[in-house]
Amino acid sequence: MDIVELSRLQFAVTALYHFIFVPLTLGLSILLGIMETVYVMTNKPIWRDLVKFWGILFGINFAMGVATGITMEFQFGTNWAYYSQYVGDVFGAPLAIEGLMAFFLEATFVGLFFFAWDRLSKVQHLIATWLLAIGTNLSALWILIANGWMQYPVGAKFNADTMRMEVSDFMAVLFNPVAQAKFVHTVSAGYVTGSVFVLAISAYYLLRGRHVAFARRSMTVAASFGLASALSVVVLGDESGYTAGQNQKMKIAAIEAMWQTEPAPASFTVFGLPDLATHTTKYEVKVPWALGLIVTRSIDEPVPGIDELVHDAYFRIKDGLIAYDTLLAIKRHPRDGALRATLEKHVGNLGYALLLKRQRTDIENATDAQIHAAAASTIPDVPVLFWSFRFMVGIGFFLIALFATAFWLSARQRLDRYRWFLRVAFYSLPLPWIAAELGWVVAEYGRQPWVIEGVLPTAMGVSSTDPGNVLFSLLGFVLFYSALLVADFYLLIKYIRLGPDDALAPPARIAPAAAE
Amino acid sequence: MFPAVLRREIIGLLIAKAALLSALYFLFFSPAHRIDPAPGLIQSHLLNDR
Repeated sequence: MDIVELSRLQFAVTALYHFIFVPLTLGLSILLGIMETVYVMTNKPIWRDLVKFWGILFGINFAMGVATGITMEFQFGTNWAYYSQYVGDVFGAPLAIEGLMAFFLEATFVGLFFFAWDRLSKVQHLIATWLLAIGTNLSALWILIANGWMQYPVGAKFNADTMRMEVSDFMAVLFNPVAQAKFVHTVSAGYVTGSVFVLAISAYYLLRGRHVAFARRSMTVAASFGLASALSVVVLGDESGYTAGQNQKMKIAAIEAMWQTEPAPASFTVFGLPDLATHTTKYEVKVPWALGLIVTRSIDEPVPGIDELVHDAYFRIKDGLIAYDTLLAIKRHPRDGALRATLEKHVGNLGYALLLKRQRTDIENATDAQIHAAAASTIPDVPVLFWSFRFMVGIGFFLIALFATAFWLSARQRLDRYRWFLRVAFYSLPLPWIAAELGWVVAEYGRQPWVIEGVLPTAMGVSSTDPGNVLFSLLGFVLFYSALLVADFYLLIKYIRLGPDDALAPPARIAPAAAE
Repeated sequence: MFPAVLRREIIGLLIAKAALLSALYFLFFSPAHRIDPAPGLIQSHLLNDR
């Protein structure tokens, strides 16, 4: 493995680990707000117990999320130095705001949530809980604005003097449609994760006949909030599909294993077996019109296939080489206005020319065969994207059915009557995490070979460091994060087994445990 | 919104956090501490340095 593969693997491992904790934090924070609102409205102590017990599990997860998130930010400097130099002017701002928001809003109110029960009135504590939930979700907003820019780099321009991308319109970065769609989709997925967590643990209690009143109420909240969230994930995921269809056509084509352009109205492939050798998808089962409606919001626009997009990439590389040659000339004649005008005309495809850097450093001398190879390298891993997307969507629809059933049973006060349903609810516990991790694969692995779509190839973003250093730190992360995961599972299982009665009494034991 | 004592504690904590961040910035990350990447090196990574 070279430095590029190792750096990618390290970021993927840390991101996937981190994303085990994030969705649950997002979801539980809102659920705590809802439960505490009911407590304030009804004044029934059982609702306070709900908030405190799920709050302990939230606290364990929150601490692990913070610990695994910090290392990712440092990797931009250690493993992705050229990336940080090339796009740091744009990417750094939302990342810094996210850090500050977590430091000032989230961290402050998480302290109030755990330690100020006896120092605040009920309404004041409720406000603190909601501010914690809002802070948690706002952190996700800023990190997804940064990530959205990597998928759709708007509001920035290449500066030939500093040789990097610089912000030209911060509001465009902020209101990037891809970032907004990703934010609502991701936080909704987090709400689903939190709801499944509460639903599954409550089902476990009901199956064992323990804490029945507590579990019924928890399940009722999880079922209603989970149903609304699961429906939102699908609707908002559709919006993500539309924005990707506008700006990341190759990703959509790869998700669909769509080698040839799909004429209007484009069909959606429900099932098929992608064949990389023949550029075909065997045994396709298609839904007419569906892809056109998702990706173009119309029935009269074709959706370009992989082969056509590779063909386009070939010409974009050639156009990018004009920008590259012009940059070389500007280096020799920095004040030549005509050269700068030429660069302005072709700079949009400069990133495509940089794809050739994987093959040779003097890319201005690239052969036609090398340009063809670089164009072919714009195809992501089709089978991985095809199946990841379908499993993610399949889990999404299963969870809608699960929550709809739970909601229906809850409305009729029959939640603990059907043991088969409680078993299904309990064994569904890992599903939202699997869907969330697959979603990350679709979004980030599907963006390859770009680290910034169309602007900077991933291979160019890495640091000039020894691969041994990256391998050493990667092994360190795997060991350290595995230890954290074991600690997380140990603590969660410990408190779940204890249940609300034992976990919440005596009160003196709560605070240290939650702070662990 | 919060009791006076707690309000003072929260404000104090936020000021302490801001002071700590500022101190970290001025001690380690201010422009004086920043090592600008060599312009030649940046160019050579993007352009073929000849």
